[in-house]
Amino acid sequence: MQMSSTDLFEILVREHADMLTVYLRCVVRDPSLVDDLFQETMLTAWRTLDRFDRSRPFGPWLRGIAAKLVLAHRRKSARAMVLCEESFLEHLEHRHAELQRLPGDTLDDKLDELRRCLEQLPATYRQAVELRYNEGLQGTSLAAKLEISTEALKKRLQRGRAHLMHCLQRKLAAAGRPS
Amino acid sequence: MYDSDCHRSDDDECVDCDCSAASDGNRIEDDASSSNGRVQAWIDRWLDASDPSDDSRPTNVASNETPADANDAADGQRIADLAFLHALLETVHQPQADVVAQRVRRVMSAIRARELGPAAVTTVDAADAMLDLQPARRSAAAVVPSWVWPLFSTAAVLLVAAGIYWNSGSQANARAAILRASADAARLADREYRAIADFQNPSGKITRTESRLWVRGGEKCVLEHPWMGGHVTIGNNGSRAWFVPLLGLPSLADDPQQSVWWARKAGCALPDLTVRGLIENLVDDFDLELLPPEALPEYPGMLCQHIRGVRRDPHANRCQVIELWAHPQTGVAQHIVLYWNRPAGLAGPERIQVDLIAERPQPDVWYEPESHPPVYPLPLGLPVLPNL
Repeated sequence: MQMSSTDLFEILVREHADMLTVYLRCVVRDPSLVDDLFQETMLTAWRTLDRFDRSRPFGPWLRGIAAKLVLAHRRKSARAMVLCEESFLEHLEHRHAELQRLPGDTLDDKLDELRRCLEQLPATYRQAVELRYNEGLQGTSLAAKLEISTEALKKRLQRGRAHLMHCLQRKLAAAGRPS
Repeated sequence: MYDSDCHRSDDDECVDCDCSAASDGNRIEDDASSSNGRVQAWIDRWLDASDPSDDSRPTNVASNETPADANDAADGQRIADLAFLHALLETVHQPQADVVAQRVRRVMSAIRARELGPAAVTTVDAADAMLDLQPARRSAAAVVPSWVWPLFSTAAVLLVAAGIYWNSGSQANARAAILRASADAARLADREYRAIADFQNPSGKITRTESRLWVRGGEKCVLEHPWMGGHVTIGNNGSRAWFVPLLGLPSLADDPQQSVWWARKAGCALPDLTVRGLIENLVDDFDLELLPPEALPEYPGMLCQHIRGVRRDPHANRCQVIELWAHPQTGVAQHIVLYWNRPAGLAGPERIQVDLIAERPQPDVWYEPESHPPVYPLPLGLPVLPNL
């Protein structure tokens, strides 16, 4: 059975949807803006598919489109953006390229490395991080649950994230090294 | 292992200490002792801001409201790393498979609709946006670029000018026609339809009922359905469902979907009480086919678009085939037929036919229960009987 170009593009969209979502969530906090940018990115990719260099991977090209759209949205949606300096977006792209090199076929497989980092995190930090992300608790409600001050909670989360980032960086760097 | 000072310290005591050595001996920058506290405070506020619309949230670093210190490239990278980690942690702990699948579906619907050509694209874009952005958390206006709406409002004119692009048998074209009909059904026009339903009894005998259906856009509707020698009326005013029984006082419900449940309880087998809802059923669960244009007996000079949808996963209690005849220029649903193909002896709806009777404005109050008193008003002083 011969597949149409639309069907083939749908395979690419499905393959890269998770990664593009993560990329946009790095930059944008508003979920509805993530939706908008996701749709605009994919439609722009479809419209300009003839410009895609097939000898290169699709993911970075897609994120390049997303980055341009993010920059274009910067003025009207500045409040929803974390940061849209080009250097910030370049570093983000660098991290995603590293993430892509981690073992595993899907994003979920690749995230196993982060799960391992979470397992290695000291219990105090792990508890704070998991309550923050698993149950969505924040600020005073999370501090009350842990029976600590909000300032101490802030520090726990900062340190937890710092350790996680350090652990993840090591795994990303190891995956990038030639075996 | 980590620095012993840090291990021994409770966080409350360790607020200002530097407890940041990793197992490999490399130093982890402790944000608590970061030289750039202002940037860190900004990151904290951003990462842990729960409400995206909160005005106190940090803004673009490029703006004046963000820390000037973040101009430093190292700070920018640190922020990027934390944003990256934050997004990954959110993905690990709160997977959004359904949300992502919905995004993919919306994108592919738009792309497949675009295959028709530029004239149809405008209409289908808007239809797709309305179809797929139904979840309450979003408004269609939030996703559809502002330039689409003026185009959408003139889409019918464009379609007339461009002509209808026919390609019989094409699933994409059938889908586009369906989306166009759905977009039209979402227009705030008042239309009156007649629904004729054939029910099969266990003995195989067919009983026919006739209902009236008024719709405005994709939400407001009134169904007048025969019931025990009179009729019951079921409606939706856009925010609430209501039910006027044969005898007694109306019932109200905050859930608009309650109207479908009341209709079923009254014996109406329509899967949805709005024409738009009926058409939308076709998009998700049916294989579509665009058949040759066909004139309806009521409109002999007009060749309607004829679309047939066959349910992908047969289900005994759901209609198996839906056929739609839509106006060739405007996309207005003129005639819809639902077939159940029920085996002999299995009681239930067998066929429902929905015909457009008229398009004429109704007052807003028409979609409220006050406009539809019960057939047998309750005499004053009598107790209220339970509905149905």
